[in-house]
Amino acid sequence: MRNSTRRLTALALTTSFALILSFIESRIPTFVPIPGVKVGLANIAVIFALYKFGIWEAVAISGVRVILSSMLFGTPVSLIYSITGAAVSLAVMFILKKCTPLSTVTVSVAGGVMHNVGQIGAASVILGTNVIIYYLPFLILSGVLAGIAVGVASAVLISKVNLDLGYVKRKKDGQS
Amino acid sequence: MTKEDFKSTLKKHRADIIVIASLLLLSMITLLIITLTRKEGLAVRVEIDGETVAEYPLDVDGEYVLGGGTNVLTIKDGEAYMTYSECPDHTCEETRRAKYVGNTITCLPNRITVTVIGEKSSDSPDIESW
Repeated sequence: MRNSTRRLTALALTTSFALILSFIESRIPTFVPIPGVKVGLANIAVIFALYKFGIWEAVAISGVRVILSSMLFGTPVSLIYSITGAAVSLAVMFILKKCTPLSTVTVSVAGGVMHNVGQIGAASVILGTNVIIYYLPFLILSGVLAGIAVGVASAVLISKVNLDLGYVKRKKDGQS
Repeated sequence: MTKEDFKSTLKKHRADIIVIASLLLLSMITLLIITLTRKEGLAVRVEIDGETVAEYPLDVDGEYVLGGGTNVLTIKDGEAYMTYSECPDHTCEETRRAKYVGNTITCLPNRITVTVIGEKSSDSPDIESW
C-alpha cells in the first residue's frame, strides 16, 4: 500500500485522539445516575476512522481504545461491557453507513443508542436480569442527544481534516 | 433561510429525521408503559453474578451489607437505596430510590443488582440480619 508510513502515523494519531477523548470523558462526573449513560466522546474518533479509513481500521482503533481506557481509567469488569457496547455500536454504524443514505449525525445517533443498549444488554446477560427494559427509555434518549453532539463534531472533523494519505483526493484550490 | 430552502433541507434529510424521531418516540412509549404499569413492591431481591443471595422486605427499615462488604443497602420508608459502594464510579449510590416493582439498583463493577419484587419467592434463601 502506498504511503504506509503516513497511514500508520495517521492511525496512531487517531487512536491517541480516541484515548484522550476517553480520558476527558472519565473526568466528567456522572450526571445521570443510570449505568451505561455516557456522552461517548471517544466515538468521535471511531466515526472519524470509519469514514476516513474504513471498517477494519475503525475496529482496530475502537478495540485498542477500549482495552487501554479500561486498563487506565476503568475496572477490569467494565471491559466486557465496554467491548460489547463498542462492538454493537460500530457494527450498526458500519451497516447504516454502507447500506443507507443517512447522514453522519444519524449514523452517530444510532451508534450512541446502540452503545448504551449494548453495554446494559451485556450487563443484563451477565447478571442474568431483565433490568434493561426499565433503563431503555433513558438509554435511547441519552443516546440520541449524545449522538447528535458527537455526530456534529465528527462531521466537522471528517470534512475539515485532510489526512493526505495519497489515496485520499486532495480538495481543489484549498477549499475546505 | 427561505421557506423553499427549509423544505429542500427537510426533504434531503427526511430519512434522518424519521430515524431520530422514531427513536425518540420509542423512548417515550417505553417510558409511558413503564410508568403506567408500575406497582409498589413488597421486597427487594439482591443478586450477585445473577444468583439470588438475599431478599429483604421493604416495609422493614434496615441496613444490609452486601457482597462481603463491597456495598451497603439501606431500606427506609418503603424505599431501597445504596448508601455505600466500593467502586470507582458510585453510580449505584446516585441511582433513584427503588420503590416500584422492577426498579433496579445496579452496581456493575461489583456485579450486584437490587431489584424490587412484588412478592417474596418461597424457594430462595431468606436471610434475616436484624
